[in-house]
Amino acid sequence: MVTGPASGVSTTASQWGTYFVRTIVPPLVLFVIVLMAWDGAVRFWGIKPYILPGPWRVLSAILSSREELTKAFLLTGGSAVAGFSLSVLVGTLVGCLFSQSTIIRSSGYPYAIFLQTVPIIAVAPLIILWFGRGFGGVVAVAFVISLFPMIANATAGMVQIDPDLFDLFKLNDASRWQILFKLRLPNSVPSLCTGARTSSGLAVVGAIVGEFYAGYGSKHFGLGYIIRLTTDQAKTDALFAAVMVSTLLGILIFGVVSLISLTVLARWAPPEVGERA
Amino acid sequence: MEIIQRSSSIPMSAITPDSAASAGHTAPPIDVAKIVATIGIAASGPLIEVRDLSLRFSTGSEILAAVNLEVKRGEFVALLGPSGCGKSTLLRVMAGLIHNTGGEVTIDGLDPASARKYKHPLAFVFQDPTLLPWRTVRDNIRLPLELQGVPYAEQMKAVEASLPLIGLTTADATKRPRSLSGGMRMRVSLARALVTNPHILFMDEPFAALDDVLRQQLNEEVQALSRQKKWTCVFVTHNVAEAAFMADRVLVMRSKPGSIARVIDVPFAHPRTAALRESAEFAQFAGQVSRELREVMSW
Ligand SMILES: Nc1ncnc2c1ncn2[C@@H]1O[C@H](COP(=O)(O)OP(=O)(O)O)[C@@H](O)[C@H]1O
Ligand SMILES: [Mg+2]
Repeated sequence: MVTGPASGVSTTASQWGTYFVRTIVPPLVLFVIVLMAWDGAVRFWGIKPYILPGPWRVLSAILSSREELTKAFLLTGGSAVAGFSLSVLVGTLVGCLFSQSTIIRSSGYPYAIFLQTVPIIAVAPLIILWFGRGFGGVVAVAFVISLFPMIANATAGMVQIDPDLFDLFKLNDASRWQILFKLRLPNSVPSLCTGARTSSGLAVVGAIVGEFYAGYGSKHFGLGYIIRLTTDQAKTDALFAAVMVSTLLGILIFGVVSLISLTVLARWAPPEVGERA
Repeated sequence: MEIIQRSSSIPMSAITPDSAASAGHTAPPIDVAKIVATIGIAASGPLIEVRDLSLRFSTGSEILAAVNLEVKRGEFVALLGPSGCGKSTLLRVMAGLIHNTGGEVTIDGLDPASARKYKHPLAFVFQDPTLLPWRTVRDNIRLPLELQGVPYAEQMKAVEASLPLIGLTTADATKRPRSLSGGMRMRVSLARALVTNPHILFMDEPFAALDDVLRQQLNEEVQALSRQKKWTCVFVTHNVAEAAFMADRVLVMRSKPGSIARVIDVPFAHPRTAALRESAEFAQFAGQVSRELREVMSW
């Protein structure tokens, strides 16, 4: 009924086992089915490799350039993690600030929404221009695209609190700081976790988009650069290889963030409602 | 005699200028000293006085109008009325959490906020247990002391002392609220209220969500504890039997706008035990209160 290890009081090994079987295995099974269908379709219709290479070709492309891809994976991953970490930090700080008064919130929030609505593809060149080609610029793009979910969730978590709890704090003459650190911040942890999950995926997208523009150059490059280069050169199997590795990076970062948040939430007393399919 | 006891039983931490400063308040020490000096002077007469109180929220109509009531020292008063008549609002005004728009509320001659800060510590029990889910039972109970800047060792001592009073064990203290039943959570909420050694205890339908047996049990326990600790209590409820069992006086409220329609003295002696509920007198009295409540509601 309740999914994930967060449902238990403590997360034991068997709970992680159940979690693994329920949430990791099904998508893997689906993945294998999709691979088989893909392979079958390529063979059946005789699709040309530069349009759609079969899974085996992609696999061999991955293997043949595994050194490059590993380096690119680490570089892009590093930018994404850096941008994401900045988002968590800045988003939480902005949430703290927004929680302090409705005037601050209503004047600042529209600009936060702007972060979400601005098309990242359109502003990425500008951000790169400001922060430079290379790591700094890529991190900045990842940061900008992943910031809004953190701000939105941090603010919600720090503002949506049982009014009785405020009364309790007021009755004991709590200071603004005590309310922030002993009520708002801890209360926001579940929504910070929600925000972090959305944000982590976006940071990977941001890092790759940033690399489309930031390039880095021929010796030192990330997945975005490979994607762009192989597209231009119509090396579709290499493109697929880079896309696969990018996806893997996204899943990895999302998975790590999800595991961390589940662990945190298990201690933090999540809501007692289960999900039903 | 009782009054002298009361003044001397104020925890020093609540009145020393030093703790007021450490809790983040800028009130000059001279104020506190003056207030401390006045303790005992205004010691006769009712502790809580509400005169011609009215309240209008900025959003519209009058919620409370011409409310008059008094609560004597050590008295247990039940505030009985239909849902939405303004009981919670009145309680919040008396606690200094909401400001009235007309009339006057005083606690021992002071406005509620100063009174609870300097003279008569006040605790509030809400309808929901309102525990912080990320804190253990112990850390929830010591929260008020922590906020008031009481040293950690004293907080822990006070928590240990409060646990057995309200039927909790040391083993419960390390649990988190979510692993407790509704009744246990309410016990924790009560422990959190009494850990500050309050003079005044406001309770807003604290047991409304509990099943009957549990409610009766907690009625008995809280009633006995309030006598033992000489609390001045205002207990909001919409349950006639609960009001009759707990209170020395029942104030019946009418709604739209909320005000006190009837004041009924409860004739039963203390201690009040489960046997009282089964007596013919109790049934008769509860019947009378119900009748009065119905009359008030049909106005
Ligand atoms: N902050 C508020 N703003 C406007 N109206 C309110 C507010 N709080 C309560 N009310 C209104 O005041 C009335 C009394 O509420 P309440 O005191 O909670 O009643 P009770 O506790 O007796 O059920 C209700 O009609 C409610 O809608
Ligand atoms: Mg109410």
